[in-house]
Amino acid sequence: MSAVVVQGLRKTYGEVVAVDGLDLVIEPHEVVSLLGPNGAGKTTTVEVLEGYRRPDAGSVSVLGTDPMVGGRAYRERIGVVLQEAGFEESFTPRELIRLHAGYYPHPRAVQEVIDLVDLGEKADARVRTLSGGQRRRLDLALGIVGDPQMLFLDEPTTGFDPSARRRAWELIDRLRDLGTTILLTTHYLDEAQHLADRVVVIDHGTVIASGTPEALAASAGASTVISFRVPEGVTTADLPEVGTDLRVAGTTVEVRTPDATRDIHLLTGWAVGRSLSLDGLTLTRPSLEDVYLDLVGEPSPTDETAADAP
Amino acid sequence: MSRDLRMLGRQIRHEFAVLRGTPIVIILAVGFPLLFFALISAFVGNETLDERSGVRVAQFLAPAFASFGIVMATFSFLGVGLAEARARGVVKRQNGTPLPRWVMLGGRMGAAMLLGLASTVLVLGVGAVFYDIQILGRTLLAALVTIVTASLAFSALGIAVAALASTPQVAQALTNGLVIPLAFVSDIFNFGGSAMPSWLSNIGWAFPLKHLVNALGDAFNPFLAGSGFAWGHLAVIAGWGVAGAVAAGWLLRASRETAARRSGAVGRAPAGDRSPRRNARPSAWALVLDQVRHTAAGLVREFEAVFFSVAFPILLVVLIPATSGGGGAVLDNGLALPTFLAGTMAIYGAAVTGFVSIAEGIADERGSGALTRTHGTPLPRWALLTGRVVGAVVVSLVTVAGCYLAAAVVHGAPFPVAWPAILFVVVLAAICFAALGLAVVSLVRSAQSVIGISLGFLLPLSFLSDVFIVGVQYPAALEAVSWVFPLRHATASITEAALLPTLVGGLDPGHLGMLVLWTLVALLVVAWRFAWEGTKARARLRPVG
Repeated sequence: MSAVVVQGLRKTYGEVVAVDGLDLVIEPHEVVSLLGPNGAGKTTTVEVLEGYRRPDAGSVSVLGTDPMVGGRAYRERIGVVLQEAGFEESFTPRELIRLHAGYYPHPRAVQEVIDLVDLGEKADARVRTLSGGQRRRLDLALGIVGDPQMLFLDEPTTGFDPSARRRAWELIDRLRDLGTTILLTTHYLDEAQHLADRVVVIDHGTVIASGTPEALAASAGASTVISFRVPEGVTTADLPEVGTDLRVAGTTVEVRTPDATRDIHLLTGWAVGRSLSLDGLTLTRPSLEDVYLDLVGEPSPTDETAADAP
Repeated sequence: MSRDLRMLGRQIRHEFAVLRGTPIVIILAVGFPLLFFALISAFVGNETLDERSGVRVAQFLAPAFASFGIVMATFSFLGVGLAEARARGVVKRQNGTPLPRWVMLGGRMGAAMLLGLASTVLVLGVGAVFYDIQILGRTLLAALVTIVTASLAFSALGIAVAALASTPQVAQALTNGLVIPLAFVSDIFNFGGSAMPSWLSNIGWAFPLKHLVNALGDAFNPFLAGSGFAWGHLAVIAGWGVAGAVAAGWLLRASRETAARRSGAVGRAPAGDRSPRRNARPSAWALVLDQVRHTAAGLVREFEAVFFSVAFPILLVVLIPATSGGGGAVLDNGLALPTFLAGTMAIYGAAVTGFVSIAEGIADERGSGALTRTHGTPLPRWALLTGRVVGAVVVSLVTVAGCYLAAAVVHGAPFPVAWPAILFVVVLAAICFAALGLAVVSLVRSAQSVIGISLGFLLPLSFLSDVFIVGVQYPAALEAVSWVFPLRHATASITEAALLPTLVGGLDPGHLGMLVLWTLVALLVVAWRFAWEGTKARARLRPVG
């Protein structure tokens, strides 16, 4: 049985359609990353799955349960790390983790959780003395203390420094190895690439692409990129006809090609024939970032102003 | 040198701005002395003591309350402020700048001194304008020297406490735990000390606060001749100051070393944390007990909550009889004044705990999103809310014990025979107020509005509901209004319970019925309207673009 089955999910806030006919299936022990621009409907989707929001239409099942009616028994099996939530500042991480451990039937040991999220140094300091990254780790700790079968992580590493992010990734990897099903949302493409078995790109409330990071990149096909510096005394007009899209930035040329083998052969043959060297010649496989930007489009400046408005 | 002095000036200005921007500091160091001075001067009627010179009672009250302001500013808030700055890393950051250490400490001391001076000037100014206090030119210098000496001495002690305390909470507990009890034995709240056993009075003389009150009192005493210098008192204050400075210097050095050692050490985990707590769904009992413990701990850690719901009522039990006829005064209904006050203050404490602190706490948690997180856990709503209500009951029981104990120790009032009835009323009232607090949180979404509404209701109602004053006849309409709300039924219940010397006392089913009725209404509102998310969380969840 699948861990998550969502069919035709729709959720509106007044006039605004946040999620518009979204379908999603997550298998047990899978780590899936929801990727998409601000306002794409990521958080709303996750909050419906967590049981915070009632969908307007569609069917939702998590661990075989409808989150809206699963109640306490459902929440005993999930872990939730919200995008943003405060703490009771006068308590220590250890006290809050202990309190939360008391809510679950099969909690992890408090010290184990503290060690997992690497909060040992600050475990007995008041929350109000914690840094932003330490607070986020406490968030993670409270999300996993109940040893959940299904873990929801809404932008888990926002605000982490690079090493803290690596450690959080290790933690999520470890949880995956322990068999936890994880749904995470993220802005970071490297994070999705590193952690997720499968990436689901959503925009305007619907899924626009889905697959392993590699498959997604491959599906973008045309966008393997050959780049090199134009040899001195040569103009781009002299180059052989290669690729589908040629861009010049200063003396560097970037060519997108669906057939890298043939085009590389053409280019190097052309250069060797003229005793020229193609400095800085590189062949780049499309990154998830390229795929992502292809899919959702780079926002134009006017879009950005609109997104900032309340 | 002059550059350093300019730096000190800027530092003092900065620290003073910090103090000014902290409401609890202004309330306790300035508002509280001023309010109590005005209140008590009005209470005791401000009689003219000497027809010829026109000297009035307020002449002797003003230096006492000014002293309280000074010790609050220069001892309590200096100590707590420094401990907080250290905990938040402000001191560490300053240590990484060229700011000399003495300027850093001097800035805090200077600001605290200014605050104490402002409090003093306000008390004396109000006294001079409204209560005919005489300010004598010949003793002005003595007053100033006393204030400066005491400020320096208390500052040194405050810094020592900050260095001694491992956290700001410990500093807060140490400073206020010392100052507030000491104030009672230091001629601040007990005028002339006639009702005070001599051993308590002697304890007072061992500490510098009583010497400050008396030195300042001498400086404003128009019956004493001369320049007003009380050298004996000043010497004791200075002695404490030197001891404080030595201790502070030693402790600051020592704490730097332990801090360096501590940062490398890894804390050892308590045994209970090393294995999972349980392997089955927690029982309802375990859930509620955890919540009660959590609620009580949260209340105890909030200084304001403890002060206003526990310390303040107890303080008034001690204070009001001392200023209105002494501990032996008997009311028209035959109840000794301290016994009466112990009851009504316990009710007031329960109301502050349940209706204000519990409501504020949960509204804050909702505003910050902490409640949203809890909503995502298996903790049932009823367990969360029951825990809050029972937590309020626990704190209210501490208050009621403290109130009757204070009445017994300070005023010699016997424990009422009807104590089971009194405890019953307190528990019922605490449940009622906490349920009402939760009802307010259920109806009002923003945290600021919650605190405004709860305080806005409670304070005016207290005056109409025989909490602070009894026997005042208000206009009929106001009287009628006061009987609608549960507060007056609660004070009436506890007063009547104490009247009869039996275990069940004089409980009145009518009043108790009103408390039960309000509790039920409140619970219905909570069941119908309680929401885990506040306005802020809602706004955040609205998608953009």
